[in-house]
Amino acid sequence: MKTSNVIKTVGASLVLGLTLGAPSAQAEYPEKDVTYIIPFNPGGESDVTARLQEPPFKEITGKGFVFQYKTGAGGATGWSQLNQLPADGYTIMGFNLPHVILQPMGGNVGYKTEDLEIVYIFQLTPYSLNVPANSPYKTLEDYIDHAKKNPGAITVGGVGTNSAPHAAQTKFDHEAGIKTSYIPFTGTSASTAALLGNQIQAQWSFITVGVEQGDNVRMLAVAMDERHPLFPDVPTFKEKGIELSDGARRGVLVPKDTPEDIKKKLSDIMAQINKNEDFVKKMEEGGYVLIDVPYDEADEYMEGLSEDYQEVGRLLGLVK
Amino acid sequence: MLGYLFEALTPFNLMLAFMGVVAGVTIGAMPGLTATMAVAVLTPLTFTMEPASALIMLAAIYMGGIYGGCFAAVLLNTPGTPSSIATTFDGYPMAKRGDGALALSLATMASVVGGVVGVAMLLLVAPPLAKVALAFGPVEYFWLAVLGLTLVASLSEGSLLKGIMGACFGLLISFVGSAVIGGDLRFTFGNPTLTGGINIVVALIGLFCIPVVLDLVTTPDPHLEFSEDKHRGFRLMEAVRQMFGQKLNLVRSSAIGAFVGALPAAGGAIASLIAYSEARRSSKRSAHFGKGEPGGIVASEAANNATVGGGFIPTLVLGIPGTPPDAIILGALLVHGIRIGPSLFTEHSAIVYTFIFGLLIASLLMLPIGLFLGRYAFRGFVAIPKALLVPGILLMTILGTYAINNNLTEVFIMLALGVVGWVLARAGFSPAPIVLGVVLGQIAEQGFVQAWLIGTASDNLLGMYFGRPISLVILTLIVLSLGYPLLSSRLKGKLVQGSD
Amino acid sequence: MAALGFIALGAWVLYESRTYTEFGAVFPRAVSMVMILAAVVWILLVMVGVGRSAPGERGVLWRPLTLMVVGAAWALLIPELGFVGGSLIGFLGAMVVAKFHSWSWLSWLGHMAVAVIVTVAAYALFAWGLNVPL
Repeated sequence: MKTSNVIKTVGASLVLGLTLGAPSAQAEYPEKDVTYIIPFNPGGESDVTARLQEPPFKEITGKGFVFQYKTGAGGATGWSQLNQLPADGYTIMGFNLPHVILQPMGGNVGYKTEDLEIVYIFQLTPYSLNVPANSPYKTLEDYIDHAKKNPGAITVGGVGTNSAPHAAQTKFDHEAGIKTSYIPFTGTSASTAALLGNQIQAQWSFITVGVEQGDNVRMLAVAMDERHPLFPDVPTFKEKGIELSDGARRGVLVPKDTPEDIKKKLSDIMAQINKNEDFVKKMEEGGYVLIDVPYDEADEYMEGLSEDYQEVGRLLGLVK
Repeated sequence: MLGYLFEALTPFNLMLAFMGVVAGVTIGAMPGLTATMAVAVLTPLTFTMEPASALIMLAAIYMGGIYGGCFAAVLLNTPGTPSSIATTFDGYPMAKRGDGALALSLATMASVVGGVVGVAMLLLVAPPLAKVALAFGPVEYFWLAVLGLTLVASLSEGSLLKGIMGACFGLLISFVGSAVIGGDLRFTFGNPTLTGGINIVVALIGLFCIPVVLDLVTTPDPHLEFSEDKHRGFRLMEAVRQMFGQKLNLVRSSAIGAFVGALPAAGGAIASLIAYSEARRSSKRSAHFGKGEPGGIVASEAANNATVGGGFIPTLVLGIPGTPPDAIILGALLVHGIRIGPSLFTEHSAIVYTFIFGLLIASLLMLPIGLFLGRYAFRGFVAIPKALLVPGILLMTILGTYAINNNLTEVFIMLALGVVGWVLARAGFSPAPIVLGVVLGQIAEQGFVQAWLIGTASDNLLGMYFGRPISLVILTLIVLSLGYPLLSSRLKGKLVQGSD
Repeated sequence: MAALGFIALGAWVLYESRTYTEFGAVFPRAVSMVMILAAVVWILLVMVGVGRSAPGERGVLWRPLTLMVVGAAWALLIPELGFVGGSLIGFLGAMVVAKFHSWSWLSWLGHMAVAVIVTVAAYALFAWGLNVPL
């Protein structure tokens, strides 16, 4: 063969090899199933939303999740152990806001918010103030009125202490100038059961409860910027003059030392999951709002949230 | 409605139910692995199935798991799941006596009856029962927890005072970790594992199983043996005869189990305990309870399997889980895209009814599976030499503990508690009150503080605790159960009698 | 004897709970007080002679104590030698402690074989069947 042809052939095969090789090096992750650790009880909302992510994850990467649970201390047990887990990209952990901001504020819980490396924040569940269907409070005004006349008399349930619902209750009471009594429960179902049984008069929870319980529960208002499409009759707090548009957010963490490119890849995959039609449908039907905060925007986003929650922390008495 | 029964009887579903029961029983029988864990671990397998089939499998695993706990309870004096704690009271003494095969047969049949009754109640009276369950508020749960503790304190072998001390010790153990209310960290010594508290199953294995193992190496006598040659047989007929003599016990215990199971957050442990105590109180042979009385096993096992059906009452009617495995199953439903909550019956009645019938089938399947396993379990178990039994049990306990949270520290906690339990056992303290203290601690504390908060908010503190109708009923039971040991035999002697 | 231990425990809990918030402290305090009360009553009754003291110790004690050490060592060895390695050693150790009669070398062989099979089977079940990371 003539030398120039040899060079061309070799060159062509080299280029071919590189182009074939390069994407495969990129597409290597994930090569096996990824362990997804949930710091809450199986069957809870954090578990369910994570499990809903699996089918689209499988579609995109061909691999699945292996779920594990590390429960305790409202999630702190899992989060405090995050950075001791293998950092090869095959271990990820779910997390919730405002938990990871409020918890360390309150004392030594085994981790600090900055320790947690966020890859994606994918979901927001807006707060709602719920009362049982047979409650005398038909509107938000009724509720506020009664509270003004009888400070501390209204019993409102919520999950945990210094948690998302507690933060919501604190902020709302502050903005509305009232005082209600917060009764902590260990889980949403426990507080919903108490609500339905009229053991407590109201509940600070999430739209998901309203979706689930349907007619058994009346949502007095939702903490969103605009009314939720599933509930056009329920006003937002904003409409009533109360600045409360917030909820619990869920996202995914990796151990700190996970390689940079894997973090980016995970972030991209999560973004794609959030666009998966089936996933979107199931989440929205459940009352969840999908949001997208990818890896590179996470730090800034968290800073903004932290500032908001500083105020709440002060109201809760966590920050002096 | 019957159409759904046929739906549930398809060969595929039957096979799933069968496999589910076998898997559940195997996992539930191993100390360290609970029914909850069985359901949690095997749930992902069902995601690719049709919702109804997935549910049938999960229900079968759950039902089998609760039943499986009796094997470890009878053979090793270790409840395989917390629901089987009361089964150890009479199951193990029977095994020690050589009647282990009989005990297992009784447990099997009682579990089947209990399971069926639980499903029947689910099918027939779910909505009204759910309403009643909702009437239980924090105060009622608190008193219920106290009732459980006083029952176990007065029932366990040994004196009432020791039982109370044990229960208090258990309660203190349950306080380790972040407080239910208030969130402050208690007794954690800065250890991140302890922040999560001491897991119930860790305490269960440690306090029940390790002392048994340590005792095994104390003497060279075999662990269990047959009482007489003639007892090597199937003993099925004998068991059936016993069962007929326990008709009232069966029905009552199952009803208790279904009802308590329907209370969200109250589970098999309390149910079986209450059923056991009621069985003892109304039996003519009450003095024999605790020493190997068949009625005790029947009561406990019937009740705990009835909680499966009962637990689904709030789960299906309201979307509120009655027991932890229900929560997992609810989660599985959500992943299948089925909206849970009050709309479940109306929107997906086909799936729901097929599932309920699947539960029924699973209960019935336990009979052949259980009898088959039971026949060989006791015989096989007796044949294992101590040199293999001891390390084998240790292996299971260490593995099982580790499997809960993949945490080696918990294994150490388990071993440490085991040593403590052994020392206490030699001093005459039985493990049951301690473990129940751990199990009920959270419920008791939560109920207490919540009731206090609500009572203060409505300026009605005393009325809150003592004025509500259901609470008064429970309070009466508490007083009765405390009074019973005092009234029954010689006053002082019973109070401080050391254990034998 | 154990009652004294309980009193000490109760006292310690009361001491610790001083630093807790109101809600966090109330129950532990109540419970430890009940415990101390029960323990005191028990001691009194024993002294008065009404109660019998605990049953005498039966059997030899060196075996259980050794077994405890083996158990601890077992748990400690797992992170070092991996699950199968650590458990094999632990299993064999426990086996020896539980060996009451002398064995022929055939018996030894048989027991070792069972040890290996059981350990590996358990590992397989948990690691693959149940997806537990070991």
